[in-house]
Amino acid sequence: MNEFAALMTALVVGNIGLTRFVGVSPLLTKTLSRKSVLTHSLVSCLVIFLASVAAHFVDLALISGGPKLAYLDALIYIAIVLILFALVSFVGKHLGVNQDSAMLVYFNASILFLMMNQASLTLSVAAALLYALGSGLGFACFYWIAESMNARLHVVDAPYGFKGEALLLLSLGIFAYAISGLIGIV
Amino acid sequence: MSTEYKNTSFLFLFTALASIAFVLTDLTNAVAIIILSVIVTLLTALIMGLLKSVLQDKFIVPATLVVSVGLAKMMQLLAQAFVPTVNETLGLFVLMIAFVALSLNAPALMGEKKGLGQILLAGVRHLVPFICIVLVVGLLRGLLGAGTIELLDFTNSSATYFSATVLPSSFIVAWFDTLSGGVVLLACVLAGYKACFVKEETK
Repeated sequence: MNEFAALMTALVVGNIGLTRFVGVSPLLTKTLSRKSVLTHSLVSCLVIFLASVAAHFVDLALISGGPKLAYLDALIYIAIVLILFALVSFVGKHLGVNQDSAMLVYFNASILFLMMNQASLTLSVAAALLYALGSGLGFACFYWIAESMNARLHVVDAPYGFKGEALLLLSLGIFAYAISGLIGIV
Repeated sequence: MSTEYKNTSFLFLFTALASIAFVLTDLTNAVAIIILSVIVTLLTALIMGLLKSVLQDKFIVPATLVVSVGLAKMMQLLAQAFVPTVNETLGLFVLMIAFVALSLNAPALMGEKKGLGQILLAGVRHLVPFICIVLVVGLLRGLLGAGTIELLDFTNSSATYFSATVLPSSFIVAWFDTLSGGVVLLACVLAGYKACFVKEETK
């Protein structure tokens, strides 16, 4: 996979939010203000980028190479996720950014999936960095779009069963179907 | 943090469901996901119920995460060894079951102190609707996407426990086999579940 393909795959056609629905959970807990959405998008973008870069090198050093600890891969990756979140929370606290750990914890799903998925791809260092950047930006875009959708759907007069979470999932499903049209083009 | 978990047991049923909608394509996969989810959720509840008294509140979520991911990985390795077809079909999504376990156990582990029995019971209580929804989605996707209801033998993919062709091929909607079709179907099932079993909150 060349560098451009890696970037575009991570950003659009292989977007972990839109094409796998991993990490969609935080959207369902509550609606947020624009500022909070922006903060969460940026934090998730940063964490996903760092996690994805870390996953590439950890895979080379410990999992597919070195001591070959393939049976411990999930635990190694989750340790990276927890370290990153501790770091982000620490930095966020000192910068006065409102950290919502309950929501951030569900991004773990997307990050773990991304790292496991990236490990299954054999990318060069440059492609891995671009893949990481694309994943972070892609997830942030997905989060921004989905949260905007969620805010609008909350005021829609829908039947009780569909109100809220089900309507959001329904809309995201249709949106993912539209995006799937890009597979093979991008 | 605990305030967000109040009255959200319904929410927790499907927070992780969207992640596994990708592989929830038929009844066989649904049964495999249910078996793995039940084992991981109950074992996580058991281990965290024992550990809760010695852990500070802020470490409960990370500890639950580590325990559930460890158990899910163990399940993946066991599936790889004994039921390779399940492992191949579910792939990386076996690990997403860890987040099902986390979601289902979180309400009981958060907030006020509860005993081991109460945590286990809460896990079981949350598992029941989860199982129903996964079964219905698996059944409907198999039915609408392939026109069949079949349960394959996990150890031998060429053998079936039962198989019935219900819809003729001209009535099959292949879109339901895709992720977007699955998520739309999941949304409809959840809406039905919510309309039937979840009372509307009075403001």
